[in-house]
Amino acid sequence: MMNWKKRLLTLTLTLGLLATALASCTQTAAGPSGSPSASGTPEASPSAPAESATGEKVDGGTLIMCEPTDISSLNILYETGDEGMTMLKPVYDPLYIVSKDGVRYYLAESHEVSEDGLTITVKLRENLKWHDGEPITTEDVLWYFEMKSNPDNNASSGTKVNGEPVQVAAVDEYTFTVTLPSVSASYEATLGSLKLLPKHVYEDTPVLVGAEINSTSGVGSGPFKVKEWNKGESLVLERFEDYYRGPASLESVVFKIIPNASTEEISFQNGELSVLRLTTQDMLDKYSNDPNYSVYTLTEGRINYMGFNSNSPLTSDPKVREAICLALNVDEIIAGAYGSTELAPAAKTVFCPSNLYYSDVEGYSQDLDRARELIAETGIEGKTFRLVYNSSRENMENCALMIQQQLKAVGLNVEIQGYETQGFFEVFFYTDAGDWELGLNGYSTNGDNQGDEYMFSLEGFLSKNLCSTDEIAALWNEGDATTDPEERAAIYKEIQEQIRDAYTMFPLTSPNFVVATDKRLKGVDAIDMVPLFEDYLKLYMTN
Amino acid sequence: MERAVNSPIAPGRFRRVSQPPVQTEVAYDRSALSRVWAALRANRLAMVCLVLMIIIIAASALAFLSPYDPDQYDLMNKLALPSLAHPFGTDDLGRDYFTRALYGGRVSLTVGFFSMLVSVALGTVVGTVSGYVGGAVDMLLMRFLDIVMSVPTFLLIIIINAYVKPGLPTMIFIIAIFSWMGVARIVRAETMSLKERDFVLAAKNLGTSHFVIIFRHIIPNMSSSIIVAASLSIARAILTESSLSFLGFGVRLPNASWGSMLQNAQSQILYNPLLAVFPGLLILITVLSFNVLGDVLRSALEPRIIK
Amino acid sequence: MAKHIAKRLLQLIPVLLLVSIFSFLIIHFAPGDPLNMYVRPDMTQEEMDTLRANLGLDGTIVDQYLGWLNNVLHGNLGNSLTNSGQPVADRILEVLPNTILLMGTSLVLSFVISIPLGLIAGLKKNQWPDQVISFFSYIGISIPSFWFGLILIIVFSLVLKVLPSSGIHTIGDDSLLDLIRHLIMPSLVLSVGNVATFTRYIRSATISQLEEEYVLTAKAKGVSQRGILFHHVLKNCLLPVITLAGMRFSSLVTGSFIVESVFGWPGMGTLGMSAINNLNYPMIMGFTMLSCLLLIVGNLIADLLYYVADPRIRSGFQEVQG
Repeated sequence: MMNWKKRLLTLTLTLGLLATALASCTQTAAGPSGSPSASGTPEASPSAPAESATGEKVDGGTLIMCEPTDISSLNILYETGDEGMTMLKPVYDPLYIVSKDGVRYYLAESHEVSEDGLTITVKLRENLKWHDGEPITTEDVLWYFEMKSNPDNNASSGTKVNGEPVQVAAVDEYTFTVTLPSVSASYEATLGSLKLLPKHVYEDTPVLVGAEINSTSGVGSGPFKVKEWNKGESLVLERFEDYYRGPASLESVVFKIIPNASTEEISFQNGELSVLRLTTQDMLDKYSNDPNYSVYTLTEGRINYMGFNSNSPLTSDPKVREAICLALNVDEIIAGAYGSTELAPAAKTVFCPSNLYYSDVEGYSQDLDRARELIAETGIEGKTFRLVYNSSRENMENCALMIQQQLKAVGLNVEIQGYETQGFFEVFFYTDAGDWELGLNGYSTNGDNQGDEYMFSLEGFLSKNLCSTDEIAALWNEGDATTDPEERAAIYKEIQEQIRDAYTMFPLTSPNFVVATDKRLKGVDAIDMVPLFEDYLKLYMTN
Repeated sequence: MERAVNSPIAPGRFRRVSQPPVQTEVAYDRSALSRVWAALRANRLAMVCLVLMIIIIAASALAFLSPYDPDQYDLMNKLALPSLAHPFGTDDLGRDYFTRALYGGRVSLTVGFFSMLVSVALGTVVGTVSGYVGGAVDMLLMRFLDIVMSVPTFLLIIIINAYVKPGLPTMIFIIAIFSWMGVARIVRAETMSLKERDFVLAAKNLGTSHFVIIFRHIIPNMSSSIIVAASLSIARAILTESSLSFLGFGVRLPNASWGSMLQNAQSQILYNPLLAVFPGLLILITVLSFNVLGDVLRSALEPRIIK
Repeated sequence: MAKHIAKRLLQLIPVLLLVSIFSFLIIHFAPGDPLNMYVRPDMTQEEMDTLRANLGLDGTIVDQYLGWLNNVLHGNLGNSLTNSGQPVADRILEVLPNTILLMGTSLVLSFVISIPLGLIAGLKKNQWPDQVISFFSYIGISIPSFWFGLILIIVFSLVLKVLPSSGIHTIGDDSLLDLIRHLIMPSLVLSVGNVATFTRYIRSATISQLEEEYVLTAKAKGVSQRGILFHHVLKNCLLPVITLAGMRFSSLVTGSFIVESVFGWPGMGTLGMSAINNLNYPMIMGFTMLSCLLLIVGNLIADLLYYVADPRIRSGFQEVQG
């Protein structure tokens, strides 16, 4: 059966190859090269299949990935969860992405921030098309902001700075300006990440929440368009031939819904999936040593940490927190919970190297004598600390168990309680009953550091239980109000140091996103960004 | 042919009411015990199950004798294969899997045993009251029972477990409140037939209080049915607990049950299938034993109905 | 008869009402505010209030319940509390066929396997085939279904590579054969418990039928054993067995939770799990109501079939009900 399938696949590939070779003979392989003014991103010239005749690359092919749960609509506006971010990524392009390596442009051709930091001018490319063939212009942009500002649509994110709305104006068909009410250095990145929607499709629907059109339209701007969506089962995307940077090399992208991780891995081994995330040392060893697969290590841009509860009388004492931080051995926790530092390098601080501003500050290191001293001094020996964690997250349970055992060694008891994601957030963020002391959580941190502010600002609604100081809060505000990159770098470095010295959290790891792929799939690591894949043009199949 | 309604192999919910009153013996009667023993000796499978069950229960009870701490990790010894030092090997944190399975057995058996106790107690009370008092009370209780029986039990257990702070007592209570109905039906039917019997009528005439009649005359006389129902009820509770744990709504850390061990093993199943084999087998054997023994008890204690 | 059906249907109403109140209470007293699913760090209080009102989460619990009930009576199960807010009924109707397909297949499979096994066991009462079948029946009712599912996946998908491990069909392959290949393992797992139960029932029915006078007469007349089995015994124990199926409906509804989770089957169980994990209470309510309805209707059909099948119980019908 499998053999038969494989043969068919080979046949298809060969035919495809032949067809493209023929096509490139009759046409001049021109096509829009579309190389933007971006920095450091070698554009995999997608419309040059002629090369395939000489060697590796073939045109076409299907990329099959999977997600544990399905999206609930095809409208990226409402699909902000992991599954939406991944599955609809190829369907909707952002304006541009601000990363440590520079700006990568998608729908936008260029953007510029004014001297005073209050106006951002964005120029769209002129050859943009929605999947239904209509052009993408500033009209869509204006409507988009207007739609977002309607409170009934519950989609106001990205349209406000410090609680005040931004003003959007069109200069011409392809240029628009966004005026900020006050300086926000991070808004540049926020603006770039917005994913436009087609005005002509949605404008007749006054309220988008709950509208049927969210599930039926799916008209986007990305390299792949929705072909069929079998709810709860699969999302099939096919390449958009009129894509502004030229059509993708892959013929189609399929997302399957597989809730069970073991089933997922079996599907991968049976060739029913092209990509598999590796989460254990066993998996890593297996696929690294198997010549049929390639293994890629990408930066996940995430910090997993243990937070302390400011509402518990125990952990509101910085000395107690210091004692715990010094009693823990992060390398051992990682070795136990993840198996290796290749999957999860230890984190020293609150930012990732993939942040715009990251300083290699010193972290905590285990000091049992000092920890015991502090425990004696604060009189907490034998006290019970309640540790909560998110049981839906991989490896968290084992981290909790390791921490429990390490604290036991210095005479502290730990009671562990896991919750499903929603229950965990409820306990960890939304309620301040002070009924736990330690909590395992994680946040993704990429691009602009200010994106993490919501985790740390004392005014935010996620910080009811957060240990922090007024100085740290002031630094966060300063970081956003400063435009000079060097000054900002200094501020974020100070934030890192102050958080460390105030013992407000214990960083555990900034995990890597390690994937095994079908060996024929290339371009997986062209952009070191998660969720996969930022740019589907970079992906192609080989034979 | 009379069958317990809550038996996993219940042929139907309708009992033939027209059949003659059931002839029962008092449970502590020697002849009942000897009948059970005879039935056990005649049935090799039942004998094996009894032995296995005793071993599993004893081992779980004596788990503290193990030289290992079930929670102490040992990273040098991760995922070791079974050996003399570690009969079931070690898990992904290097914990002795045998010790963990014993402690897990404690949790599973505790949940099974106590939810059986609660559900049998509840079922017996409702059943006797309903059958003994009769009339409007009976009608109301039976309507209520119908309602609870029409509920997608497992779904509600999941919902409650997901939203109520999980813990051993909660779990026991939740499983129990959705599994007393079968017992109540059997008990009600037996009570209805017993209360017409001579010795009950005689006691009534002597002015014995209803309370005494129920506890001295009626309940002891249907203890065999209750024992059978209890045995099957443990089996079902253990299965329910493991399913819940598997779906992530069960007993949580630091406790492990066989179900939660299976849930953990699930992510390792392709690499270390043994981690899933042991707890799975333990559940299978335990549940099987309770089911087989329940049936043996039934056939031994249930009087033959003469055609 | 008609009176009985009417009575049973009327009983539906209080049952559904009570179950709905009960589920509503559980969900609402659960720690956690569904609104938190939608709150973003940059939202103002005003926006949160608008959102709460739009989601129907304002007002007291009684108001909310009555509002929900009112909507349901008007045929509206409400909107799913996901950001896109799809109507609950639509969502359920989308996945219901998948679950029914799985449950139906599993029921058919249960009969196909259990009828011959039950007949053989009854015919060879207390001989080795009976003992073997009885042993496996015990295993069938005792095996944790998820464990059995995992074992099947390892054997048939991973080692032998003959069956797909998850999903309902291969992308781009809409053939019936493909669907059947996907159905085999989940429906088998869903059937184990039923096969065991049915087999034992058919066995005991066979034994008692074989002792009936008409069978003895037929035997005396020299009718072959096969003839007796198929013409007399099977006919007489088949209909009660069908009614069993109705009663096992609940196990199918709930079994789908586990089986669908193991095999990635896009049905009611998968939907229910995600609704529960996301505090999506209109979805949980709709889901619970539908499961409850399925269960009651299944039981009702079973009762009626039983009533039709066995005239002997008609006399006792009323009393057992009361």
